[in-house]
Amino acid sequence: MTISSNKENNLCVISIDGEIDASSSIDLDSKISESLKNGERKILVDCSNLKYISSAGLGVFMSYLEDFESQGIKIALYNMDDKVKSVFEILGLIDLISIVPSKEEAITLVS
Amino acid sequence: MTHKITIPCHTSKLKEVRDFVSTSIKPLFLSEQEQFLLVLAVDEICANRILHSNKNDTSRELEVEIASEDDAVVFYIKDQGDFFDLTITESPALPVLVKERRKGGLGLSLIKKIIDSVEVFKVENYTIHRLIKKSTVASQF
Repeated sequence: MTISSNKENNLCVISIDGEIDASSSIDLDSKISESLKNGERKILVDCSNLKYISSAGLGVFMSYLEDFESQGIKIALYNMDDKVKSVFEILGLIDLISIVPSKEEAITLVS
Repeated sequence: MTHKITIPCHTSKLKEVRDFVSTSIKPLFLSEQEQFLLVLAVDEICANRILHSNKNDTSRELEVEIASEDDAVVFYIKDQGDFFDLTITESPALPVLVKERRKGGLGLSLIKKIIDSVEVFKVENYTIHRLIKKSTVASQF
């Protein structure tokens, strides 16, 4: 799994490529933590190449929800495969984090 | 017919288990979604056992075996780590996990929502998890 981030205007775009499991979830954790430390307030997560996610990956997103809320940070995940999205749905996380079909919708959501 | 894989107890080996399960259950002609979730359930058990009961100790091994029994696909996950009966453990509520900024605590909920029955038992020095998923096409396995 590789994870990268880049700045697009005032947006931080995190791109995930591969599978997030108990072994690789630490990289996602580090990237989100780094974004928060850098003072990012609008975060997009490109899931176009995210092939798999286990509870370890979901747990990373879950652990930052309070920080996002308290610090006024807006985050949206986009271009997520339906199978991956179903894991968020099964646990009810779909109601707590924004997952939208396209990057355009994600930008609108965080703007 | 059964399918079996043995890996050292390290989370870097989880991908091998997922690929093995994915390949093994292909003959069942389940939907992509069903296959994906079965792979996930086995991955969750293995990750839990490797991290919490075997402490990522590569000198230990974990074995995954898949078999068809009557009208079900059955997954056996066997290792020599500490015994822990997850079937009697309550899954924490999502709002509590969020409030406490927890990263863990979701795996058990996932397993229970995907798998029809989970059993945990001890045989000699081994802890064995038996995951049962009913399937009308299990006999094709």
